[in-house]
Amino acid sequence: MLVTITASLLWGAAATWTAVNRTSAANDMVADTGPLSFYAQQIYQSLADADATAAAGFLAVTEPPAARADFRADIERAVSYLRAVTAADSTPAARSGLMTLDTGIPEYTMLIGQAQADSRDGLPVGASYLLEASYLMRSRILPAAEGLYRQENARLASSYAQATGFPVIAVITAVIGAVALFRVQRWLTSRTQRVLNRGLVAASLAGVLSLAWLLGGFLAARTSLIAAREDGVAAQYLVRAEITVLRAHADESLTLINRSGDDASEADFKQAEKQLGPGTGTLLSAARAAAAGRPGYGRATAAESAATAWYAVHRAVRGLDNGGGYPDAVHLAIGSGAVTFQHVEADLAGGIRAGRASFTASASRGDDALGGLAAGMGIASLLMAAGSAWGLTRRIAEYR
Amino acid sequence: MRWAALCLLAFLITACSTAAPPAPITTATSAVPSPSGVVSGTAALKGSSAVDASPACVASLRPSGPLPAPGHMPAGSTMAAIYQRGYLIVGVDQTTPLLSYRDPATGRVDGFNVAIARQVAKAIFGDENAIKPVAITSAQRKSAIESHQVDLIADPTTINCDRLAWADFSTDYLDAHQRVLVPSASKARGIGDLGGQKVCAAAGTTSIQAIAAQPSHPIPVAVPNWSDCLAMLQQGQVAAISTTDTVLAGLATQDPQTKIVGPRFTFEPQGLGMSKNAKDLVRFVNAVLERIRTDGEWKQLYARYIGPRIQPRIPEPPAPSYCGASCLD
Repeated sequence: MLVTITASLLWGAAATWTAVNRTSAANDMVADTGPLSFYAQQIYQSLADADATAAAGFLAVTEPPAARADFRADIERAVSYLRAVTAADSTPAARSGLMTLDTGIPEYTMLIGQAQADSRDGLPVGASYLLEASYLMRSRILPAAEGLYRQENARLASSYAQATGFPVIAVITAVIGAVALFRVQRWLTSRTQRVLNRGLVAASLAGVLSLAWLLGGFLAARTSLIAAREDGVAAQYLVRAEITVLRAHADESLTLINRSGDDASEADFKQAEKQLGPGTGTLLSAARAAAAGRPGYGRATAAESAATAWYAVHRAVRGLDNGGGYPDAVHLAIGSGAVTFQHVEADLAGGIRAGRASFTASASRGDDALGGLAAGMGIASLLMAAGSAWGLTRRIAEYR
Repeated sequence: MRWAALCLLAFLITACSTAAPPAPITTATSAVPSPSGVVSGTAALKGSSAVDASPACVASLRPSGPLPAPGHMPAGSTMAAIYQRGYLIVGVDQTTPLLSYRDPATGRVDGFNVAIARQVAKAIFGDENAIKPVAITSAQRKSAIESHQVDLIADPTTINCDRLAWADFSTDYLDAHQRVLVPSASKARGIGDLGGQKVCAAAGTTSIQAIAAQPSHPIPVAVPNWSDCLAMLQQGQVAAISTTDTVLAGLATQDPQTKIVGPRFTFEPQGLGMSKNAKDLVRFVNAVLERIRTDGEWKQLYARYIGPRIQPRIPEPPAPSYCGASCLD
């Protein structure tokens, strides 16, 4: 009797532990690591966008009100999500990056403010402040935001691995429990000439059902979580592509703002263009491949051709500037250059949004599939223990 | 007994209400932001050359007679090729007010140096606006001339023996002298007071060499653009800027809280740089300079762009110096 009760309880413990473990990991994907990786992504994107927006706004002699509003929105978004991450992630790994962002962002906005004030006064030194601000953003703030984004993605990946790992311990315990129940029933049959013991049959049934539920729930959740994971990976490529696009756009403006003929920013643009593609091994093509069959696919495909169109305008801008047509180059860059750039940006942002929505839906579905599993496993194991106890006490009573 | 009970009670109350003091806050001492491409110490001297305006190097080619009429350039000459193209390509700096800068309001490149280049365009085309300004950094002047990207350079450029290896210069069109720009509140009265302190100049210039060569041993800090020096000065990252008084006066117009101080410690004649394969253009430009020195145009341009910012009175144009038989083509 003790053997069957122990086996039942052991199964109960293993199954419940498995259920709790998988459920909490799936829960994290929905409620903790999932949102945090999104927050970190928002910080990273907003700051990269602020860099590009400030530079483009500076090019127009008087900054357009829309550019100023965009810049403010970027900074506000970055700061809001930064607060959310600071509140939710107290891991020591995140601390230094958060500190860099906390101190760097005000310093950055201060330099941008100085640049704009000087520019309004017609002072060339304003360009130096803008370049300094951009350098601060690229050399210190964006690397910290990228580090944070990578850390949060790593945490999300470990939640995913935990939620979808095959439940080895539960299966082993189930086998042990089944063997124990079977042997006890065989032993009883040989001793009592009765084929079936109702209590033990009930216990076995509960065992089989709970195992089926555990595996069924787990497999259903796993399918959804794998879908979520695929969305997440595709979105990560799109995010990297978007940030590289923003960097290149800022480079284009910085080359024109620098006005000294210094070509370091143009060299960086060419490097960014090479990373972006399209082409084998480039960010845009990798993003399209990763999004194949996922909701972000259409936008990822559109982004490739939009980027090619934008590079063409960029080359025209450089041609004008190098040929001494500085005002025409600026005019083109902030005119149709800005429009073609926005197409690339909108496609990438749309792809990221679609992927994000699909990720959230899939992860929630996965989490729902695991709903009530832990409680179910506990109750089933108690039923099993009670069934076998009831069945066996009746047999034992007959011997008295 | 009663006292003991009260003491115990008091102890319990204080024990319960004693909260742990907050952990001390460590203030992050992150590095102060600075412009990109800042180099200090001996590394700052890369690509620069020493001031050496010995008379033999300053001497230029004598004009080969009176100027031809605009539009009638000698056949086969460099000027004829420029006339064919339709505009003069001028290498400019866009960040040095007074001398060579882009006016943010009009989008036009302007300044004393650019106005001199416009006089050359006027002599070729009869139209002083027939120029295409191309922005180049101080460090890019050499490659711009060697690759024929530009016809002539109007960036503030000191005529100097080292530079004769890659360029020919016009006669001196503006006398400049290196001095020091400091914040109004600074106690420094010249480069001699700046020993051990950071002094800024653009990379690849004679100024950065002259700073390093001072007996007071200031620390040279090189940046890509002159206005980067001003941004660093305003942020307290350098103690002073040192270059020619003409460039310093332009920087000072952007910040009333600065002053030019100290003795002149270099003599730096400014010249328009041209390709070594365009001797005819050098002679032509010298003829243009000869004309504006004598017809009063030079003084008018000086009054318009520089005025009394360097010295109270409008100076006489610098006298040209021509070389003898030694440097005939």
